[in-house]
Amino acid sequence: MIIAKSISKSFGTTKAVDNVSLEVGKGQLYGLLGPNGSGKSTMIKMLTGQISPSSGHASVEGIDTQRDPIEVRSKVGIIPEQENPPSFLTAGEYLDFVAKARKLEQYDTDKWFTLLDFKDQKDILCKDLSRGTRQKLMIAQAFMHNPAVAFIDEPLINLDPISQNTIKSYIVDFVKKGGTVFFSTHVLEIAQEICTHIGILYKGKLHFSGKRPKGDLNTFFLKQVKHAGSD
Amino acid sequence: MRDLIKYLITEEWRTHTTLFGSFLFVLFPIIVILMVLAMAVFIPIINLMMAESTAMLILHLIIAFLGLQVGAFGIYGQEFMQRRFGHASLLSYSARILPLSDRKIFLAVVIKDILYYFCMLLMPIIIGLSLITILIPDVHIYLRAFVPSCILAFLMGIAVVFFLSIVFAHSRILLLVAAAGIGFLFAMIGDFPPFMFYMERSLTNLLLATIPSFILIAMSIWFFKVDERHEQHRFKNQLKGRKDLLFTKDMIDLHRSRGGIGRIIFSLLLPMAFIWFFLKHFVEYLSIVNFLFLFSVFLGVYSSSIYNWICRYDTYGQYSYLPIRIFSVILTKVRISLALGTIPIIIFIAAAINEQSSPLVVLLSATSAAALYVYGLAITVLLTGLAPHILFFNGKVLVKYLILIIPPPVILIVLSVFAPQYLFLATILFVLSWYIVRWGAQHWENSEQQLF
Repeated sequence: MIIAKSISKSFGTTKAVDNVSLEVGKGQLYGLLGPNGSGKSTMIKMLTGQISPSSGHASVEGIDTQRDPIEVRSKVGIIPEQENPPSFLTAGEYLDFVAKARKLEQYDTDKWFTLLDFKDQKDILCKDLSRGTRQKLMIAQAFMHNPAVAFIDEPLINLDPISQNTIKSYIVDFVKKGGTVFFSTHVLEIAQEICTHIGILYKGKLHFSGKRPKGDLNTFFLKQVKHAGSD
Repeated sequence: MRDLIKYLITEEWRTHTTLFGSFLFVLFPIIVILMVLAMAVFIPIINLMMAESTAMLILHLIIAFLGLQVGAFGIYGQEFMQRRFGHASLLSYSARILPLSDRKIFLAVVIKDILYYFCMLLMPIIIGLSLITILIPDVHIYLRAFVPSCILAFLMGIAVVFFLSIVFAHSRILLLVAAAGIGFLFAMIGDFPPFMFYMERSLTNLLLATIPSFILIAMSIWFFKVDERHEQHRFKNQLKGRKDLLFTKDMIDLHRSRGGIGRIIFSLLLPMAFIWFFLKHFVEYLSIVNFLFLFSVFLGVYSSSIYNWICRYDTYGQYSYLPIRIFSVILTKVRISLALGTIPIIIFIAAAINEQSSPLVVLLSATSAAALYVYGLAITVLLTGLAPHILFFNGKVLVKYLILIIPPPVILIVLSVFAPQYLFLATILFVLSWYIVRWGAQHWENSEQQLF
C-alpha cells in the first residue's frame, strides 16, 4: 500500500510537486503519467525516501518514508530513471552486491540473466555494457528480492522490443501474484496496455487518480492536460 | 566558428556555476589571487634556496602543468559529467550529430580552453604576482615579459596533452613513442622555451616557445580521431564469498580503475619528493626545527588526500535506491583510507632510515604524522562527504578546510621548537578525529543530495 498525503516538494523557487495526495492499493499496477518535467521522478523519489517532501507525508507498506527511508528501500524495489550501476563491477558482481546489500540469504542471479537474455554479458564491467543492457541490470536488481512494491521510473526506456515485451509480461505477472507496481511514464501506450490504475501529473499537480478509464487513454490524457492548462 | 566558441565558453561557465554555485565559483579566481599572495610568505626562503631565475623556471613549469591539467579535463570532461549529472552531455560531444567537422569542434575546444582558463586561472595568477611585485620590493618579476611567457607556457601544456590524447586515440604504443619524442625535443632544446623567452625576449626564443605548441595543435587537428574503442573488460566475480561488501567494492574500484600505481606516483610520491627537497633547504635556514618531524607533519596532512582517490568512483545516487546508509559508505571509505595509510608509513620509514634520527624523534614524528593524517581525513569527510573531488573546488569549502586544517600542524611545529615533550598531545587528534568522522558521516547521511 502506497499513501501520499498532501506532499509537496520545492527546489529553490521551483515547485516540482504541489500538494499531491494519492493511494495505491495492493495488487495495483499504477501508472503515473505526465509530460517531461511534470514531477513524476520527484514523486517517486519522495515515495521511496530518496528525498524528503517539503511538506506532507508519505508511507509505503505502513512505513513512513521520511522517518525510515532505509527500511522502505529494503522492502521495495526501485528502478531510478538516471542512475547507472557502478562502473567497475561486472554485471554479475553488481547483482551479488545488491543481494548482499539487501541481506538476501538465497538468491539466483542466473535466473535474471536468462530471463532478460544477457547471460553472455555477466562478466563484463557495467561501464562497458550498452544502455539497454544496463537497464536490464537495473530491472533485475529491483525485482531480485521479490519485493512487495516496485517503483519504476520510465521502465522500458532504452530496451529493444523483445526485452520490452519480456519486462511488460514480467510486471503484469508480478502484479497478478499480488505485487504492487508504481511506475512513471510519458509513453501512454504502455499505460494503456498494462495499467490497472493511473494518475495524471501536470506541472506538479495531480489532476486525476483512479482506475484506468475505458477507451482511448491518449484522448483522456490530452483532455485532462488541456483542462489543467486552462485552470 | 566564433559562435561555436562562444557557446562552448558559455557551457563551460554554466558547468562550473552549476557544480559550485554562481557566487562560490566567482570566488575561485579571488582565492587563486589570495593563494598567490600567500606564497609571498615563502619568497624570502625561496630567495635563500635558489636563484631567482630557477624560481621563475619552476613558476613557468607549474603554469605549463596547469595547462596539462586543463587539457586533461577537456578530454575526460564527458566521463566526469556523466558520473556527476547522469545524462549530461557536453557540446563538444553532442556537436558530432551536427553538420560540423570533428576537427572544427576540436579547434574550437582548444581556443575555448585557452581563452576561458586564461581569464579564470592565469589572470588571477598574474594579478597575484603583480600585487606581490608591488608589495615586496625584493621581488623582481618583469611582468611585461612574464605575461606573454606565462601564456606560452600554459599553451604548451594544453598543446602537449591534446596531442598525446590524439595519439592515444590512434595507438597506445604510439603514445609512448610520442611522449618520449616530446621529452627528447625538450632535452634537445635544453631548457623550457617559454622561460627562455621570459629571460631573453628575442625572436628566436619567441619562435621556440610558440612553434612547438602550434605544431602540436596543428598535428592534433590534422590527425584528429575520436577514440572509438569500446573494449569490454571481463572479470571473474570477486564479490562472491566476501562479507565486507562495501570494502570489497571499493577495493575492486581502486584495482580495476587502473589508476593505482600511477596515482601513488603522481599524487603522493612526486609531491612528497618535492616537499622533501623544499624542506631540506628550508631546514638549513631554520635549524631549530627537526627535519624528520617537519617532513612528517607535511606527510601526514598531505597524505590524507588519499580519501579523495577512493571517493572518485561513487555518487550518492548509486546508493539512493538501495538500503545502504551513506553513513556506512563513508565509514568504509575512511577504513580504506586508513588501510592505504601504509603508503605514507612506508614513505615515513624511508625518511626515518635516511635521517637516522633518535628513537624519540622517530616516535614523536610518527605520532604527529599519524594524528595529522587521521585529522585531515576527518576534516575532509566533514566538509566534503563523498564528493571531495567536487567540493574542494567550492571556494567556501576550500576556505573552511584551510581554516580547520592549518592550526594543528602549526601548533605541533611550535611545540616541537619550545616543548617537544608535549608533542604526544597530538594523540588528542585521534580522539577528536573519531568524533569528527562520525559527526561528518551522520551529517552527510542526513543531507539531501540532489545532484551527486
